[in-house]
Amino acid sequence: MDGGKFFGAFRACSGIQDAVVLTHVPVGCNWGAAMFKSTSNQPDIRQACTVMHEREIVFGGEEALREALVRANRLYNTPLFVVITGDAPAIIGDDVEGVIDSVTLNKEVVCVDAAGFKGTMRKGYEEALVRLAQLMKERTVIKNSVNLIGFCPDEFKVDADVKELTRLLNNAGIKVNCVISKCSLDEFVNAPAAELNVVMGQGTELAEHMKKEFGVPYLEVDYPYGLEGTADFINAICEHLHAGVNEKKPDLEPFKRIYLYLHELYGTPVSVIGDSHAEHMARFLDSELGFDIEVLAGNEDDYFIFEQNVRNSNTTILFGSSFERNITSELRIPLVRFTYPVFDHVCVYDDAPYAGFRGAVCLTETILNAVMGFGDKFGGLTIKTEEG
Amino acid sequence: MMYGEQTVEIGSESGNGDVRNEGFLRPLISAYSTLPLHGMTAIPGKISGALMVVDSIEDAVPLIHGPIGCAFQRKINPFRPYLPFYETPCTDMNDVDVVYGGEDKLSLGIRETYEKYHPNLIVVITTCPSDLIGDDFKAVVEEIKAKGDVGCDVVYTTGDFVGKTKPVGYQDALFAITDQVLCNGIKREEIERNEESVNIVSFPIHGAGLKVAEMVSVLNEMGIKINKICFDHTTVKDLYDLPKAELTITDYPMAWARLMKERFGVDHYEILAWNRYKETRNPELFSPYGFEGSARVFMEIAQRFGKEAEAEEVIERRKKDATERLSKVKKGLEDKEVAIMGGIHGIGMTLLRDVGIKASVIIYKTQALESRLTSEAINEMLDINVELARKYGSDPEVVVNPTIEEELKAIKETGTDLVISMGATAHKYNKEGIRTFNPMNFMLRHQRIGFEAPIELAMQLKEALKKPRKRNPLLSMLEYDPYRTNLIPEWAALADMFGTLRQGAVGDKDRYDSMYTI
Repeated sequence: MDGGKFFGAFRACSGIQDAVVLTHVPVGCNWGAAMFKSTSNQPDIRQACTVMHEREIVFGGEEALREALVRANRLYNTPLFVVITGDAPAIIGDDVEGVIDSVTLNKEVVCVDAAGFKGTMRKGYEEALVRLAQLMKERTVIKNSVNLIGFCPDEFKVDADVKELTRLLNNAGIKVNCVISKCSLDEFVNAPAAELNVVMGQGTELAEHMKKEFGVPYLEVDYPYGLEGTADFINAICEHLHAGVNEKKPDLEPFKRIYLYLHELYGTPVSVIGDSHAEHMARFLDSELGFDIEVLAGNEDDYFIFEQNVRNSNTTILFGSSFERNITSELRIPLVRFTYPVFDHVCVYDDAPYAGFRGAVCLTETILNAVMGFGDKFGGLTIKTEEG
Repeated sequence: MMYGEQTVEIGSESGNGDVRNEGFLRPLISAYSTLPLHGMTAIPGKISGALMVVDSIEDAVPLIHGPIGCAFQRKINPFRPYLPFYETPCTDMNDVDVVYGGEDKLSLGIRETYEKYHPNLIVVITTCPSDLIGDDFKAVVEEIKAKGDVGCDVVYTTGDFVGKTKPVGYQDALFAITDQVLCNGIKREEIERNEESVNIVSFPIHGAGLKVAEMVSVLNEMGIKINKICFDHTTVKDLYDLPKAELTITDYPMAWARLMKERFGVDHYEILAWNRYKETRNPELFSPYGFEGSARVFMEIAQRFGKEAEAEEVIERRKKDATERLSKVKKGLEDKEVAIMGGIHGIGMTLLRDVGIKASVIIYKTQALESRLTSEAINEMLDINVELARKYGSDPEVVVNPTIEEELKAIKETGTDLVISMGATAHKYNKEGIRTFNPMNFMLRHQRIGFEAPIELAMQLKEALKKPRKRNPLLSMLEYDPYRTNLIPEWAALADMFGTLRQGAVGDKDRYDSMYTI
């Protein structure tokens, strides 16, 4: 299910880790944004809300926004405020930029128009990043450096994945200049110093913008799940930077330890749903673990049809988000959570990624444990004999 | 906070009524409940409340009339975050609909929802965009019904039907169902009455089926029948049967219950009688639990049916029996003293009195209330706590908005045996060698109208007094806000911000209403 433009913008902007996001919305929109974000990173709650009520709907929300800006300025010592406007102020026509211009604050303020009815989550993410790009500055290019574009701060395993990809790139002699959007304002401002932008699933519009404004070329790659996927990822970047192909082989020892189980799971019919990572996950499952992909769907596809397709398939494991708990419960099959939103599992250990070489091990371990620990599948079954 | 009030009703999550291992579920539920969002740093808004109502009616389906994001973010059920709202069909309004109107999409959405789910009731929940552009929901719903396009009832809820009666979404959805379905086209005289019967209707997350069992038994002994209990596997047909009762018993005042009285003559009775408190200022009206509180509630219900004599006999017999059993159970508790958190929610003073325990300290934290209640209401709430404590033989030291050091000092100086404290702060006391009792489990599963609850409380308190006195919890190594002692500094800042901005919201600050719905 798609989250709509507001959510996309919120996820992009809250990734600037020393910014405060001020949502100009009624309380309900603010609640949802906070709730989805706080599952696995509870101190990182840099969010304020203008708390629009009926008074603001009738008389306009500009005064509430002005007051919120002033109060937030007193409360938060941060270098950037991002004001994200939702459906209600967009409809009543609040002059958000006018309000921002009328207030003197000791920090940068960027305004993002993100009414939910104006587009998808992807669109919200893309547009918000381009909007934020007005803060970027021309910089001297750092040789063999890249920006990784396409991340959100509330993705499952994001910290661990970024850490692993940074490790792998560093091993290949490549510096990670900025991870967007999971970086400080300073890193974001200096993003044009990178020699290459690496777009992983989303953020293409920002990459296009940076190419045009700062001359930074970009490369679109798959999210690096699996050994093969990771090698492709590293090699593609190395090739582009003329840094030479990375010769380092991944450690196969962990897979050796469980090879008998992998034999048994080979050919397992599975289904995958998710954001831009879904297709890349399916490729890993298919190509490297030998699973048969029954249904592959994106968040923008019709969810009802996805569920029907899964019901009508031989799916034995479903890869998705917390939203899929219902269908997996109904079908009594394991759910492997890998894509946003995950709000019924936490991930706080930064050395257990799903991406990269180490991620291939962790992910395989998760999949095996999901199957092996899934008692219900067999618990309720009775073996019918000829006698009945 | 009502936020964490989840109960064993989730045992039915499996769909076959199996009661699951509560030992596993309790920490699971608590883990979600401790997110300090509700009321302090965010409010879920009307859609969540309406969804909760629809989710509680087994054969009903919601239809969110708004952009897809409204349905996306509502997947998390704020009242039971462990159990999302899986079915949230949405009309997926876009910018064209916002300009030209979303009525066609609503009409299509209702038909599609019926085709997909075949429910007995579709509840259209409107959102900010559809409310703002002025879609004529009523006309769309009536046209659909008139054409016979769907084979079920359809209602719409906007949040406007009940004024600012909180929780708005919850109240409004129930009002809409009552107004547009139960009362629609049915005349009072056509209803086949279930004489001398009551409906017992509680907040859907309160596990009505479990917590009213004793009440049902007592009322039956008085000669009062049960017409319907909601929400306990409630269906649309059950809702249609509600007007057959003579009286509806609710937790607190409900707009839909008043409407049912107006239209069908079904009277209503509220367990938390804050309306009557406003007239009498009798603090006992906030203590419906324990022997005396329950006896009063049962007698007041009986009076509605002219069954005082029957009630007197049943109440006395039940009370006597329970008192005798309690006297054995509570041995060893008589000289114990507890520190309690002030406020309306929590274990009532009447229950503590019943088990023979005195309050040595009342810790009163007002920060979370200051943006929602007037200072008069906050002070009055404190007075109620203190007055009841003194009336029941305690002479507590009262500390208002203390730092943790001040709390600990008061607790130690008074020789307090146990702190009745939620899990979020228990580690601070355990670190200092003070035992704690988490009241949440008792409040969710045991605190109810009836005479058995004090016995269960006594047993649980005795168990708490056997637990290790000193611990070295990992949590106590983290930095917390000095005043909002359950929040780390980042959350405290957020709470300050949210509270400050919310303070100015029109109609959001009530003298009393919020006291019972936060």
